[in-house]
Amino acid sequence: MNKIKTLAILFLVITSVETWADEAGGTHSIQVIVSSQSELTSLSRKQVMSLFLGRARSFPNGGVAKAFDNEIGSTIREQFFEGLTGKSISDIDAYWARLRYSGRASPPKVLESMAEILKEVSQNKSAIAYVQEQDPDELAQKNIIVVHAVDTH
Amino acid sequence: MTDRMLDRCFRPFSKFCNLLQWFTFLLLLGFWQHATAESSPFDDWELTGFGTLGYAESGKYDDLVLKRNITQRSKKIEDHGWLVDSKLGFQVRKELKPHWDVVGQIVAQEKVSNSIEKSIEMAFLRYQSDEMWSFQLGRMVLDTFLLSDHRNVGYSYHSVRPQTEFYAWIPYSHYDGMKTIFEFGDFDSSLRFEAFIGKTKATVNIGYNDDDTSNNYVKSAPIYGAGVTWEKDELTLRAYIARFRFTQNTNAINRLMDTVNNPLVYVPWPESIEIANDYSIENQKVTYSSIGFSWTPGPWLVQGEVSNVTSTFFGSYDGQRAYFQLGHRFGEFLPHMGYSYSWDERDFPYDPPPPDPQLLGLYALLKDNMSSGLIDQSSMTVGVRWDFATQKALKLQCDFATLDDNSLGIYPTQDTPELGTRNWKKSSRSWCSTTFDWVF
Repeated sequence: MNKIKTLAILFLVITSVETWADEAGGTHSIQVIVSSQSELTSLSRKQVMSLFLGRARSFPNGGVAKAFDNEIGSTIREQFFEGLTGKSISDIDAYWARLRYSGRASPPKVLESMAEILKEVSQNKSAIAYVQEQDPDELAQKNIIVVHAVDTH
Repeated sequence: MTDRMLDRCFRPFSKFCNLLQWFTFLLLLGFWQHATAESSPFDDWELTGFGTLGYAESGKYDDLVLKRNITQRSKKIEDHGWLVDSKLGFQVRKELKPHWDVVGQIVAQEKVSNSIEKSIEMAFLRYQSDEMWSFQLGRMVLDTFLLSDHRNVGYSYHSVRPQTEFYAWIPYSHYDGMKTIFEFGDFDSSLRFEAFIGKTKATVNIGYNDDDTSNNYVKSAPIYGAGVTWEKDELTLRAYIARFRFTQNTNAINRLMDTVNNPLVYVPWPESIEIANDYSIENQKVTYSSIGFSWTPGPWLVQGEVSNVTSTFFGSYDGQRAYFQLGHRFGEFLPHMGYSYSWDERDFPYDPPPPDPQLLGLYALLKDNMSSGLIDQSSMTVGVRWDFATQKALKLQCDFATLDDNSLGIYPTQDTPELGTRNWKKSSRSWCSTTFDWVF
């Protein structure tokens, strides 16, 4: 009987810690950003997915689109693609290996820092990228708007 | 337009393709010397690559050798299990200006009569005229089946190797020619049509021996085909048809012709010439047709293909092939299982010669030739892929294969007599393999 009690307490402690960790970690979002010159206001999840998986090369308004990626192996990249597609980052990398090495398409160009990403998006009306949650007003000052948010844990 | 006419039309163009291949390859080599220079002419070149380091129990049995495909040397593979799946590839791509780019790829791997030229899998120039149309010229990978255009890239699929019953017998991996692609769609789904024409060549090791008659040079011109791919969310459907014409006989068939053209053979046994002619591949045609699907809802992976191979001559690979795979990802691990089958139940339809020991020996040899083109076998596969680090995966897989009578079209037997039949009787074998795959 004592063993059952101990196990029950242990179970409660573990689940409480998990719940607390979830709450403490919370849900935050990764923002998909474009230049304000792109004349876009928002994009759906499916549209963002198509642009970042190389299935579409233009925005819904017809403008040329060029996706930019974060560093390979970075946490934000993993969270973004897993949140966006529901697939593991390994599956996404394998998907791009199929496209790249059959000569069909190249994955989005990798930019090494958030500063580079913000600079590229602010100057290039075709650029689309993703960054950790930022203040939209600060982004607007850089000529950048948020068109989609991907929730992550 | 007949195949011969297409071949003639294509000849001047092929010289240009050869030049283009070498140009791209030299650029690939040159990249290494200039890659570190601060302002090099190779700025904005994408240099990437992939590799597989593997080991397979290819020499486990005394009467059968595991092979990945028929372009590998049976004896070499038997003695060096690490050669079965290991390979290293480099790729370069450069956007020359808007709408134009070049792609080159070279892959080092075990192959009969290996050479740098044969290792170039891609070297093409592409013009993307608009969102819908693109045109490619040069050397391109053959993509008649779902995995055939990236089958060298182990990281891109979950199994150790593409299903042997379905993929191992395909002699060609690339072609020199041109390709047109038309694609359209919206953010919901896309449709892609493509058509190609070109020429191709390869050397295949049929059987176990590593000699003149076992290593066969096969050249095809023209090779042409068309396909359609439909993608919607996690579902991909694809149908393809390709056809090629062999331009010349192999060494083994030439040797056979010489033998039956001897009056000591054809006078007492006139049918021997008919049999040899039926084996002849010169100007004969082969057609592949296939349909396949890939469905990846969430962590699941379901994939399958069915193909039909028909030819206008007797000794060719023939029949139907199919496979089905199922996998599920659990974090870093992706366990999977699959079943593949190849149907080919042809019999040797010729009557025996008059009872002369030499003629009976020749009859046995002719009959045995068919075993080299027969794939009547199935495999059950279980395996796991472990993505232990970014863009790196370890794989472990075991295959349980059953080969029907005389089905020696992929896996050869060491019991190959100088004269006579190999007499393979239905039997099962199992092999395990492991690989480390990465991209960079």
